[in-house]
Amino acid sequence: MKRSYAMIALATGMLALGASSQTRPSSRRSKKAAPPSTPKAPAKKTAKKAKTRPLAIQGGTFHIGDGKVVRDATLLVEDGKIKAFGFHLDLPKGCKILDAKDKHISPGFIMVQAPALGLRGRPSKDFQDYYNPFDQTIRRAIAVGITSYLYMPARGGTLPSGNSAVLRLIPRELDEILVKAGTLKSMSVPSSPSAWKKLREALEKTRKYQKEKAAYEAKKVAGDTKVKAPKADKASLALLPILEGKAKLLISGARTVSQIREALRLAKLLGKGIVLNGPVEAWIIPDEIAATHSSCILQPRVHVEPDPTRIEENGSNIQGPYILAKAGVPLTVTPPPGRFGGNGMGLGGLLGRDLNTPFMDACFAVRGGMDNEKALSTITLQAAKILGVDDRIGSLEVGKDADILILDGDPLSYKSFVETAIVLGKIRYEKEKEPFYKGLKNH
Amino acid sequence: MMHRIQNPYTVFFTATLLLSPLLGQEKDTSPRKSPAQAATFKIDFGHRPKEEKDYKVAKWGPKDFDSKDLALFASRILPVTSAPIEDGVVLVHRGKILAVGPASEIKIPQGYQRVELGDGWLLPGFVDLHCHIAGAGWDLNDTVHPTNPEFRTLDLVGIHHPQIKRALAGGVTSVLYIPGSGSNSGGFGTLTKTAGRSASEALIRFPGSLKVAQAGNPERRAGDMGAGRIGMNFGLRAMFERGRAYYQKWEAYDAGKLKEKPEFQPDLEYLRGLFRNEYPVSVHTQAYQVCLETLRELHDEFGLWTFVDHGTFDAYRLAGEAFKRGVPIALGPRQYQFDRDTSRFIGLAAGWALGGKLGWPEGVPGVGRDGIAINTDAPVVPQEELSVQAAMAVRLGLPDSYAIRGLTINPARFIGADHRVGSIEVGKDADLVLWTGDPLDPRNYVRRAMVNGTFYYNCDPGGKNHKRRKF
Repeated sequence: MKRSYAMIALATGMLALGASSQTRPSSRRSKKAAPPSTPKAPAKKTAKKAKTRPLAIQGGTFHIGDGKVVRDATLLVEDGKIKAFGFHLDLPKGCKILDAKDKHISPGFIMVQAPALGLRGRPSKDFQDYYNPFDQTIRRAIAVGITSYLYMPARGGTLPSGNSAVLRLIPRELDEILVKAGTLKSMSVPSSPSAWKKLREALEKTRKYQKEKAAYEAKKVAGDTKVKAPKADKASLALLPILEGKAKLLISGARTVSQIREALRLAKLLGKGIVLNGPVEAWIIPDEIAATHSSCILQPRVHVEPDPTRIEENGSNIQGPYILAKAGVPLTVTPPPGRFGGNGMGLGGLLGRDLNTPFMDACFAVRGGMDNEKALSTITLQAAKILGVDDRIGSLEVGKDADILILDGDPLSYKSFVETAIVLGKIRYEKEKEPFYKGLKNH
Repeated sequence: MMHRIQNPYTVFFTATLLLSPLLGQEKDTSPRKSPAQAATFKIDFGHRPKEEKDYKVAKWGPKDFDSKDLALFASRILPVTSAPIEDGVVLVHRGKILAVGPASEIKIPQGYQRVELGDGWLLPGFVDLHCHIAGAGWDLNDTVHPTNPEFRTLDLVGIHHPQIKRALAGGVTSVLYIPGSGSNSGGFGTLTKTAGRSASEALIRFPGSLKVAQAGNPERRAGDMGAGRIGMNFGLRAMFERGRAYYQKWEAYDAGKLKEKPEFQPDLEYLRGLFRNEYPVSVHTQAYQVCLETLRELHDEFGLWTFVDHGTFDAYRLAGEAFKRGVPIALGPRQYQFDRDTSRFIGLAAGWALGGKLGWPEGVPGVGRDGIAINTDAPVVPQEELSVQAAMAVRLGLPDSYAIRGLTINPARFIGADHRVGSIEVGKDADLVLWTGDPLDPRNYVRRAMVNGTFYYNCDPGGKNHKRRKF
């Protein structure tokens, strides 16, 4: 695909992060390039793609991503999607066949806490202004199996905010990098009674606005041209996507039981599950979290020594992910944060503690007692669910985008390497054709 | 600080300048003319004393421990220095290993308590030669002078502190607790177990080593001696020259060649032991040029029993030089180097150990199976994650068996404590760790850990003293 940079820039503008242009209609970029009334712009791609050659992966161990394993099956990829999966498939003519006998096949890994891969500078607004598809980190990330990640610049605030986007890693291309935008919003837990009161009032207003809006839209559909659009304040606009279920709240900083309970008050108030980021003591109250339909982003290796002066149970637990999963809490895992690379894709980090081994913290979930396949699910389907993109990615299911890894061993084995990575139906990485891990293998 | 010890520095500066052409010469050792691959790696211990009783400066910890007589039955035992044993038994008596072998061959003496460990792998406790957390705080990085041979960590060991207790959860039972790298020499480290009724019971040997930071940290606050490598190298040489002179005086006195008893100098006393090769110098050194300075200055020029600590970045390219000199490598943390010339991820442990077999530099022998160990630099990598670092070394090309040795017998040998720790052998300390499986796989964990014959960590579910797992 040869295009001039100007064309690429224009296309990117057209891509216009749907939700962001909806919630921030005054955004500099959307004013210029995207009409504010096209929240579904990414889905309505106009340019027709040339048909790509179908691809079939034959044999091997298929890790579906939902906890199941299927052996010696065939998976057919067509037009960027998983077209068929099963035994004795009729393969289309001219189909490229990848022999995966003795190999392992896994959905691409989804990282919820990644550095801004491919993004240069300190992006605080629309990511496309900062995205460089030629950035080497994209290729290095794919080489270790990361095919999508959450980009989330803003944190905290009294109202849901932030320009989140789930991005797909495709080297050297700008099209189709957006999986979905605006599925997560961040916010701080109100810290005082008056802040809670303010939030309750704002929610009341938002619910009222939600009803008015629904009535307005119904009348409009019915053909009433005179009906006036209801007005909404800033708070209502910010809270609406949460109430409508279009976005989830991401709460960081709730680490202890009491902080987590305070955050869960928010979930109850909204009537929607929230996403707890780094709830160290969540394992102590798994049922309370499950009851609110909330989910967790955990760092299994973060160690917090129990404080013996506290009577009740406290501190971290390596078995935390296992305990929470057993209670039915959806969860995903990330490397421990830290001075030395933590969740970075950088080159100065500590191997085994950074994203150059993105499977490692799923290993620690297994260490804590979780089943191997369920642990793999935490960085595939579960992660996709938490990010609100499980209709598109996260598992090897028919109809989903073909983001697939072929590995030379179990995806959670410390010795395994990604041999081939398919992103959106095309082979984007082959180990022996790229320098990074050439010659290394599961030994 | 020059005003305090101006004279010795001036004297030795001159002396070193004059001698340096003789001392600092790198022998003609082109990698292409390297010895045959078949040659094995031998650590250069210098003229170290043969037995513990021959040590004059260093003190060894206790040998006899109050522990129960136990017969430990395990489905798989990895003694490391001998073949794995299926359905084996280890007899423990007064903190030592009395016998090890297949359960069918070992007779259990009367009065021994039978302990069924069940499924799992029983390994010797791991040895980490780079640890900063055996004390309660981060109080081991004073930089009073550019070099501080007057400092020691012995008094800082806090054996009941939670952070060192976590070591056991990662199977680490012995650590070299060394000062930081804020100055070119932070002082003397302590070789200690990670559990015991008291710090003195846990002691293996003091000094464990002299900590030297060749470069790559001391620059930040090296004082007025100079913060470039030229200045730092001078500071180190000056320290070693003073230490060597002091050592020579005492040796002459002990041999009856010097009548007057030399004056005791506390800041040089442990350097005397260093020059007696009673313990090694553990050198924070990384990157090719800096590591080469270590090999030439500390090993060649001063004849010290030396091991490389860290050894990261592109220093692995010195594998052939380390091989020739018998300088072993305690590698880590940071197990890879991203080679910007080729965009390759180079496994550093594999690079050092396999040398030319890795592809670069061609034909150069590596330090092999016996020359590589893995370290954490805890808390940079948490102490309990030592085996994870080894797993990463394996991922990037180090053979499994090298990695297991690199966690056990190799570091024990590098530090000169392999008669005590590092393998399951008769007569060695009963430092035994029960894993749920292969310790290199991060999905496995430690179920029980014993130090000097006593179980200090027990997280077997449903077990008698079951506690929350620490890792």
